[in-house]
Amino acid sequence: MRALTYPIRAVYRHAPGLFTIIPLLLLWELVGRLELIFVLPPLTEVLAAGWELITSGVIGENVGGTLYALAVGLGISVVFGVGLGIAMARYRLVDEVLGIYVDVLMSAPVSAIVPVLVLIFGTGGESIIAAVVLFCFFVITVNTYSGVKEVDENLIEMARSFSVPEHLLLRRVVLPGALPLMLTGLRMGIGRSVNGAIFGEMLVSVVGLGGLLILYGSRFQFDRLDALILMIVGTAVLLMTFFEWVERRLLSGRFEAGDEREA
Amino acid sequence: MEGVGAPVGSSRPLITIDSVDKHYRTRSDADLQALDGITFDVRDREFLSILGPSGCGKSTLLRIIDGLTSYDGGSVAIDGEPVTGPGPDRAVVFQNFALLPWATVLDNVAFPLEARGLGGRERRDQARAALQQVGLSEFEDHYPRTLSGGMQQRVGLARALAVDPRVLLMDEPFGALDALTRTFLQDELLNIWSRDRKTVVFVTHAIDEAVYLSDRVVVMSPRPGRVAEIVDVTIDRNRGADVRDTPEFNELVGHMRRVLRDFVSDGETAA
Amino acid sequence: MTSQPATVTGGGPAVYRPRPSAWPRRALVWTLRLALLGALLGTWEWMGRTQGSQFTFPAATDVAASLIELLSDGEVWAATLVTLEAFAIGFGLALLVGLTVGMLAARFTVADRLSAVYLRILMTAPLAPLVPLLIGLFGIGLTSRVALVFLFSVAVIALNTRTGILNVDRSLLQMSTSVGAGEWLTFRRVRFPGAVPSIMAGVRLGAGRAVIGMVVAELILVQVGLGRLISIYRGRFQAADMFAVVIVILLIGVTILLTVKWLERRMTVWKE
Repeated sequence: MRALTYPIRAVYRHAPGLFTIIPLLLLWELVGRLELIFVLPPLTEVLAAGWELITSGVIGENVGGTLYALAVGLGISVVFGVGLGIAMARYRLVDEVLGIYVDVLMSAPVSAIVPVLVLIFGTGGESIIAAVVLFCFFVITVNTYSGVKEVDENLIEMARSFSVPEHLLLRRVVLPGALPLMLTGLRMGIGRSVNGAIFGEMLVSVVGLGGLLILYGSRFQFDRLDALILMIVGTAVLLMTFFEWVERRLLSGRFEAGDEREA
Repeated sequence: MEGVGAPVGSSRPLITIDSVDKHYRTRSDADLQALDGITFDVRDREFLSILGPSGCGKSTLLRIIDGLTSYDGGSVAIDGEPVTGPGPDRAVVFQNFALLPWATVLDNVAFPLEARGLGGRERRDQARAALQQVGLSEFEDHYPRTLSGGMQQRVGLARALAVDPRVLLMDEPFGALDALTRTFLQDELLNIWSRDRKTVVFVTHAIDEAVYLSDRVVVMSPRPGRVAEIVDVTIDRNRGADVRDTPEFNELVGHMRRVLRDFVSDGETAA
Repeated sequence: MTSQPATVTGGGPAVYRPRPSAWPRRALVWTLRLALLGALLGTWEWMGRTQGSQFTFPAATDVAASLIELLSDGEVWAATLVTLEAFAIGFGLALLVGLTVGMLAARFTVADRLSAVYLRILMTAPLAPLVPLLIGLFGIGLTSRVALVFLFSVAVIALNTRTGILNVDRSLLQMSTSVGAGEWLTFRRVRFPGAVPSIMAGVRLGAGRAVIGMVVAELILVQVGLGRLISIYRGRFQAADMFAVVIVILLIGVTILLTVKWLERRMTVWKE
């Protein structure tokens, strides 16, 4: 019996707030039945619509595109972002020259550039990939940079005193030392890339999950819209929580609370 | 007020500590005993040191006397009144200064007075008086980060003096400072103390410091902390820095060092 | 590169200031910076003239011309005000609610447990999907945009406030108890001032997110302000003009953020 209630007790210990959602869900159902709020059909209808979306393959068709864009975009960002971050951290000249631009691009609302991307790349998948890169590239760069910068100077000096060649230095000293912050950057990058992909799709409005959101909204199909939102939000939260857990486990002791971190 | 060369304190006990125990519960639910049967008195107007290795519970004991920590057995009383919490009769000087970095030196010193409900003008005047006692009057508008470690601790001392406590509790106050500053501040402390002769309970792990400053030294054993010995410092109260070279001084230091060493060699860990 | 201070709350980047370079070096650095910028603009110009068309990829000079024209024309300023209105109200509300919730969560465990889940959701989930929902609820007016800006920024402010208050130096709190300070005095003199750096970091991050929320709302809603201008120019295939509006938005965002960063520095003057 205790074993059966274990998951419930675990949830209560770690995320007691989740239980407050239950009354909210009930409220939702009630509000829906009474047709009080236009955009909130009864929860049961929303769930049914969601189920239908999954089983009918609508989700399947569209999520593929989104995932593809995420994978490619993240891939590009990681490869070039890590490279740039290391270059900036190791070579002061690169740092000083490029630093200003990276700073500005980090603080600018890059979402404003997405319409430009759409114009350049058209309404296909490429602009979504570009949006993903735009959103997560700098976070990865900056975190890699910091990670490398924070590697113990003594270790680097030690390696130099033994004339360790640069590539080996990177592999054995710098990268392992920079790993914690790089992982943080990756986690943040993943979060932002999802934002980028969905937002890009919403602007283009004919592809992927973002396109579906616009579609259902424009047709006032709120049961489907709400269902899709729940799915996206739910997946994103679970995904990010999972990554935070992974990060915490991999870097036991050196990890700080990830909630408030945001570049 | 007694003169500088007067005999060691009056013999009336001000603080009575009787069979005090303290237990902690660790993360893995085990029971850790920090203090075991601590019994001694602190006499009125005496300078008493509590000496012991790291982890012997001396800081815990000080916090118990201040009323910051509870205790599990026995009793602690000041002037007959049992200790239940912090009070206006005691003031603490902390090892890492505990100054508010965002407040000026003057406001830091005035803080306990603010806690007592004193008005702005009144508490600042009293704070100024205390700052003058430690010789930092010119720095009243400075922020702590612009001061050296030694000066910051003097501010901490001024803050404690500002409330005019009966008992001054000092928790390894010079532990975070370098050796030179420490020696300087020890003399400063004796200077200031000799003017007023408050009762002082001074916690330290430095043997020479304990002997140099005190009338009596309570030597504690490592965890669980027990009173190993109470040593009378028989050197004349009118000490100068050169007293450290005298044979009496070194005999006392040597004796205490042997007492402490015996603990470590007995296999008891000092951690 | 001047990255953000690594407070408990800020993103990874540690404080870094480029060491003051000697004159020849500064000249070299600046030359390279401008050279890079020049190279990029040059490439842009070339690509615009040869590869793109004025409909899809305008040349840099065309965009520059549009920008100048745009700024001298009154329309852009009016649109900017409309856009900023949503930001101001939304961010203002987020500050109010965020600070309050953060302080309550730091003080009362109940409040903390209740708010934790929702704050986490607002922090980690993509919020753009909420726009169609907000439109359905509030229509296409100011309210939806304010709501989105609010939702984007409130969580990070609340969480940073909470962390800041909870993570105040324990030895200072002990000192405060020792000295006899009551709860209110301790809050005023120890907890809150100690939390200010963290709170300001949250405000800065919140401002950044609020700007994003403002932009996202406008671009999807396209009915008012700068978003509307973008939509118009896009429809008329006036690429250069559209680009120019985008640059205006970027400038607004950067300005807001620089202002907040300056404010943050002012308020943490007492830190080393």
